[in-house]
Amino acid sequence: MGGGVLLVLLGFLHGGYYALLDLDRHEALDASILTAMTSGAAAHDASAVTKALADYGNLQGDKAVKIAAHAHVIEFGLLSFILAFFQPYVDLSAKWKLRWAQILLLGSVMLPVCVLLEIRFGLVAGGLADFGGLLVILSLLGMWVGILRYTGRLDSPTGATR
Amino acid sequence: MSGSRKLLLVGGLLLAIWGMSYGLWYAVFAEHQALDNIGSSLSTSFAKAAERNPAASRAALQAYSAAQYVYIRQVDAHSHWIGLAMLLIVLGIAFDRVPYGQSRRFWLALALLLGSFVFPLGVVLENPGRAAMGRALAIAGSGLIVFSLAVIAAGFAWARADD
Repeated sequence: MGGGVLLVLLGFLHGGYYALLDLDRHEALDASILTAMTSGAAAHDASAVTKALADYGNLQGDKAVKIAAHAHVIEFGLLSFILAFFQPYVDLSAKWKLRWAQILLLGSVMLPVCVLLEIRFGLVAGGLADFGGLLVILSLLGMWVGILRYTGRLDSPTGATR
Repeated sequence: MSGSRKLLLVGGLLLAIWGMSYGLWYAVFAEHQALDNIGSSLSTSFAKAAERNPAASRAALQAYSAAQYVYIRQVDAHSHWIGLAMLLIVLGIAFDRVPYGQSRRFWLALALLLGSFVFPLGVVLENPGRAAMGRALAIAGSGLIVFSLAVIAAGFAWARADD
């Protein structure tokens, strides 16, 4: 639960940082790159148009990763918080419940952080982000198995887990 | 149910209804016009550039930027109101587990609710002409949210350490 609130807080801080330092700059760049594109096209300057198009692609990429990181870390925070309510119904040992929770939190931090680093470090960071996502999926599967064991115990006539 | 939980749950639901109603109003009365404006000013800009009329091209691009600026803030406010409402509701379910006294929990819930309303409102008001007021409201609102969340996270950490 505390981890979930921390993730939401982290997402908020990152969103605030983006709004204060990047949002206006991105909007100004958007207009200036489009101006360069249209001016270059009007002047039949193919290299200026090519450069403006490349800059525009980079700008869109930069925007996309920052917004994706902000949204993902907050969503993972909410997911962690909600999953905390279901822990009494995860029929696993306390040690394994803690391990899955730690893996969930690790993946929830790793994915958005590595997504942010994708622009600078490319595929390596992208691969690590994917690995973070895989950790989240694995931890959810682990908890899902625990919940199945719990409901299986309720359904079985003797009340014992097979 | 404690006052702080009630405040978060009822306030969160109201905020969700408000955010959705705002989105509905925006979609019906403003969004299509805004998107038409964005698309047409961008295409006008390129058309004028092709006609070798740089002044008209730049003017159309400025119109595109202005329309995009307002559109992004309207959509951001709508999504943040609803997202924050969900956060308030989820926190409201477990708020009694935050290990502070009733009074402190109530003030925390109030700060969170107020911040969740004021922050997107400031974003909407960040239109040209009143940008400073909007920005001040947005910063104050997000400050309230960040502060409350930090205190709540510390409370959960404290409770875990006690366990």
